[in-house]
Amino acid sequence: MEENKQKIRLMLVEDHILTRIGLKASLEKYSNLEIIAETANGKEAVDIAKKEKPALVIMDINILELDGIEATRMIKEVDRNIKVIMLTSHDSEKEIIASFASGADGYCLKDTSPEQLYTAITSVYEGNAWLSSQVAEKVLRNLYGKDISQIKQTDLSKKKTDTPQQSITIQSTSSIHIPIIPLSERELEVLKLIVDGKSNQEIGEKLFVTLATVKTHVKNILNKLSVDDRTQAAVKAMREGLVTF
Amino acid sequence: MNIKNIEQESCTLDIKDLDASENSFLKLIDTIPDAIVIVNQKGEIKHINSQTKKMFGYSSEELIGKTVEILMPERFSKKHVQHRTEYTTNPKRRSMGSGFDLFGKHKYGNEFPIDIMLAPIETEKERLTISVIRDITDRKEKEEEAKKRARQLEDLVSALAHDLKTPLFAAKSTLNHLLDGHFGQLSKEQKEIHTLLIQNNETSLRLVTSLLSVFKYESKSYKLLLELVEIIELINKAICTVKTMIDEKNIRLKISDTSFKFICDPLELERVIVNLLTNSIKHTPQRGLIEIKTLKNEDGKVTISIEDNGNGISSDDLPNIFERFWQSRKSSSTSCGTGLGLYLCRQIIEAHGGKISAKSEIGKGTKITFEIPELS
Repeated sequence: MEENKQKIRLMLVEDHILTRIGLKASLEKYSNLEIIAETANGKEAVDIAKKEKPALVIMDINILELDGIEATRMIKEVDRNIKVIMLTSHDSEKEIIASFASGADGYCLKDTSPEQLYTAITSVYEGNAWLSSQVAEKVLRNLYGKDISQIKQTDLSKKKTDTPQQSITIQSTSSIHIPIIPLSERELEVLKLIVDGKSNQEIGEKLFVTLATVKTHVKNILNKLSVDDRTQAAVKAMREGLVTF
Repeated sequence: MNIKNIEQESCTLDIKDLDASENSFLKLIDTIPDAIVIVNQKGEIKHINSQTKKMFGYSSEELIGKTVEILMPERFSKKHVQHRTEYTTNPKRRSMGSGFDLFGKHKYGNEFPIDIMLAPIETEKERLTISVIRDITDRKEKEEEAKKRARQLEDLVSALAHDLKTPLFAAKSTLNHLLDGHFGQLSKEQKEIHTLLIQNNETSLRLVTSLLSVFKYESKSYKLLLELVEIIELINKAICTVKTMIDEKNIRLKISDTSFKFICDPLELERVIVNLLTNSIKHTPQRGLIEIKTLKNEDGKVTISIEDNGNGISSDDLPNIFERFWQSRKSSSTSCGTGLGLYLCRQIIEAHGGKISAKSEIGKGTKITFEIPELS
């Protein structure tokens, strides 16, 4: 029964008041969502997470006191079951790629439609990973894209140099390559279909696999892209070069 | 005698009696404000002027008879020996190291940027090379300063565009909720104001996102995601995006049914086609015609053209339409374009190593054509 269904308890972490108002208005339309807390402060977000144990956190990157990446990391330390969706206005590759370091469960851009955000929330709440198509495009571009200068050379010499890079580049004061676990052919296909704006259902139909398999692929992609504490240098670069207060 | 002849003659000066007139010749070059160094085929310095002594800090005695490499940083010396040997076999007047930054080395080791012009001189005894050296430290500093300022300005615009995105998106979202009655019902008058606010917000957002795209494509770290795609699929996807606009104007669409596959960045190329189609639709009357032609030739080059029978572009405007911030004065009052759409198309096509061009006639229509070479 719909009434008996437990509401998803949400916390909004966003320092831009108008964005928060808009976000709240978008989410309040859904009866199965309940906004239990909102804050503009990363440190406060961690404290609230400890006390209130929200089911899901919508997290911005540039917030007060503690950035969204670090706040996510700390919330995950408090309780791994608290789901986090990064919602950022940053659409440059470096910010998006760097935000994978937080270990969040989903990544969306702020121009994501309310409907898409709702789908992301319910999907992540059910334990799946979520990548919006814009974010997926950045990832794909960073991992498998070719430098423009290289393309022109390739054209002249007709040389095949198609070896996909297995590292993510973060450009800050100096370029840093973060090695990642290579994506499988299947994962790559899934990533491409996400970029095309396909839903998990459509991806499953296209690849002749079950919905559950698609979800597993997305989760694996996200796990492979998450840079953790092992890559100290990368995280350092990210914090120096990206997060401005 | 015409100017061309003078040019050709002075290219190789035939100073048969250099010995006899050496004094007056050296006096003459002494008055020139650039450093002048005359070397023989072995690269040994035969003559210098006063400016050379001043510029490089040596006396005549310290330079005459030495190879010319004394005047340059060691990292260039080896290559230079090779270059000057080649030059003496095929001497002609030219500037040296075009496209490269050249440096001179002072007696005390400090380096400075220079420009060098070379010209051969035939004497009765031997073939000499005259080098005219100009210290361009001031010019370089000014260039660097100008580049730095341009970079700072671009960074500022980019940061500004970025910072504007958050409030503009927030306003968009809140405005939508105002309209759907989330914050209470709007009066008729409030709704009218609301429509204007939405339009303003949309224009500003378009400008900001286009600006950010310009910087994205200009950045060295930008990468293309190449894939083998079917042309018909690519065109169909683009048409899907603009279908509502096409239907609203009852525009007839004619598409060549050529089928072929080619390598490109489909996401970016789709943006180009959508952009060009949007322009065409905007400038084509009700029930107008838009024609999309596609072609792949034998060497793999792909040509795509989009032609409309709309307003057309004046011949004055035509050469500028792919420039940054270009917007026809005529259309700026009626349309809310950013002046960046066609520039972005050019950036994307050029990133593919291709070319984009336009033909147009007022009252008859516009045809935009772009080509992409075969990529691998």
